[in-house]
Amino acid sequence: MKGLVISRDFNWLKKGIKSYLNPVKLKHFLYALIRTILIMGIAFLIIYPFFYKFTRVIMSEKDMLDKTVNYIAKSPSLFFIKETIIRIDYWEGLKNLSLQTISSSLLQLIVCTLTGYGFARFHFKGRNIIFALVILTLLVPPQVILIPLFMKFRFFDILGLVTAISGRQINLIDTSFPFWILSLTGLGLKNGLYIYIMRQFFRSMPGELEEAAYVDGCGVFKTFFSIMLPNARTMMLTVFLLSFCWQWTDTFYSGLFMNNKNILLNYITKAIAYENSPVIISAFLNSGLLLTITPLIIIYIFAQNLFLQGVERSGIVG
Amino acid sequence: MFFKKRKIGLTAKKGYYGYLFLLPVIIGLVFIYGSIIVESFLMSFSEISNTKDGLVKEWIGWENYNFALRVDPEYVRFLIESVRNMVMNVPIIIIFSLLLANILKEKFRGRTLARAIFFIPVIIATGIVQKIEAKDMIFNRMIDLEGVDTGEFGTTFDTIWQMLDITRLLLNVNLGPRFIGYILDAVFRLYEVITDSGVQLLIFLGGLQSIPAALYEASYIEGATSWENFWKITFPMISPLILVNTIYTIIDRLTDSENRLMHVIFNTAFRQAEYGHASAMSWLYFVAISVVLGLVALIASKLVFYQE
Repeated sequence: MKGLVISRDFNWLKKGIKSYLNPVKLKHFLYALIRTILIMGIAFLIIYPFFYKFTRVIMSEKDMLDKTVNYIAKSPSLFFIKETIIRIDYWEGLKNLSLQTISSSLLQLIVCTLTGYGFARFHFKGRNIIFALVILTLLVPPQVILIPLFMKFRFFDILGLVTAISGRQINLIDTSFPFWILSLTGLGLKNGLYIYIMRQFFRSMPGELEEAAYVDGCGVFKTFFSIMLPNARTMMLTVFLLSFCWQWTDTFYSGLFMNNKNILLNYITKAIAYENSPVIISAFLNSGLLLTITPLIIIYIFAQNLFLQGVERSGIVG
Repeated sequence: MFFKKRKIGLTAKKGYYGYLFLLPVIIGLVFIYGSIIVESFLMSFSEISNTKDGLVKEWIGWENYNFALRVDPEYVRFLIESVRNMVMNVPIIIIFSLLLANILKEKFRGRTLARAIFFIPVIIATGIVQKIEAKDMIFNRMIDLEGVDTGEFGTTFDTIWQMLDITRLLLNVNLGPRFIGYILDAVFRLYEVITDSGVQLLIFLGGLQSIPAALYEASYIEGATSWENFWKITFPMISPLILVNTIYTIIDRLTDSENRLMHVIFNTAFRQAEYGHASAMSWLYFVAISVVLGLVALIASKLVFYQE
């Protein structure tokens, strides 16, 4: 009976309406409404293809051929996901891919941050030319330099040094070294972009900060590590996420340098190796795709929390 | 000893540290990238023939460039088309991603989820989805059919727009058919715009979050509205990253695998095995892109705000 009494008392409603009739609150409410609609609409557009794939993956084979089944499976089954995990040796691949991606994107992050700072804060001869060359590396699609790049690492040698020491050029194909070398020298996938981002970010930092540190007796490196880096956390995280994402989904370099090791994407074709039916091939490909990108999204959500913590204490630190 | 004798200023002295910070990249550019680029450049002046002794190069001067500009029927046309499409697309992508980043920056319920969803375009931008879908026969067959739902947007989305009949509605607004056409084109390609602006959105989000909150607090106390805040604080502070995103978007649009000019270059190189022609075409394209980037950088250098 108590519930009835409360519902008869409309004071809360009146109060609510009154508070929303307040022009400031009304404005906020309308804005929140528009924002919600906009975000939900666009989010729907983004998610829908993946949602569609997901519904197809958790169907049994019978449902896929059934015209009356559209989104909700009559007899849902995890057969395709389980089978894909076994066929492409998912956990092994995930381990290999994670190790490789984390190591190279960390290297890229370090190199790009250092380089970005170098470009932003120092005046030296040839700076603009080197910067133009960095942008050039971003401009050249990796496919264009496919063959020379392969040859470079198939017969690896720096200035004849390697030949002088070991007597012959070494073969770095099917190891992680090509990835590490490319990352260390700022030539990995899209590294020009990361360098550019970091450069612009450091340029937008107030110069007085460094001058103050310099006057207080900090050297160049100490200023960089204890004043600039703490402020660049959010941007570094962005760069790390981008490089992680690109490394994770990269099939170009991995196809070139890593053919015999399972790093997920190159094994997806194994899942469909002996299949004939297009419907089943489609299901395996979709489940392979979803299995590959799910870890990425999970990692993003974790990183997101770091992002938010960064905002809480945003402001100039150091 | 030599350095100590000469008097050098503090900035110049500090400048040498710059080389230290850049050392890895300089090594990479010289030892790994340099030879590849030089080789490609020389290739564009040579005729390359595949003989039983391997590839044989023969110097022919500007012949390859002449071929690309005067003989090849498609090259110049596609070059102009690519640049025009890029000019159309870049403003849409930049404005869209900046707007969305501003919205996603705010605090609201379900923000984590919303951001996670808006991260998906970054994954799509890496091309992984496309590569896997290319193997999917069912998918490829169905997107050619009309009215079949494949989870691709072409189908569902178009139907919705047709029902809304938004074109007629907008044409009644007096803004000139050209402008309306431009906006409508962007709206019809909304899905493309979204997937193309994922990376830019993430960069903007990172940039917006590193603007000190104290600035907004101070201006709020002084009585500024959010509109003023945007133009007086957010916009100048984010402008260096707007430049990055503009440059990146231009490069991304012009070197995209969907770009028809890139198809022409790849076909020339890998199907017809005309490496000389292909590298001349790439170098010309590179010069064209550099001109565009140079212009943008020139204009931007006056507008971008640095706190140096």
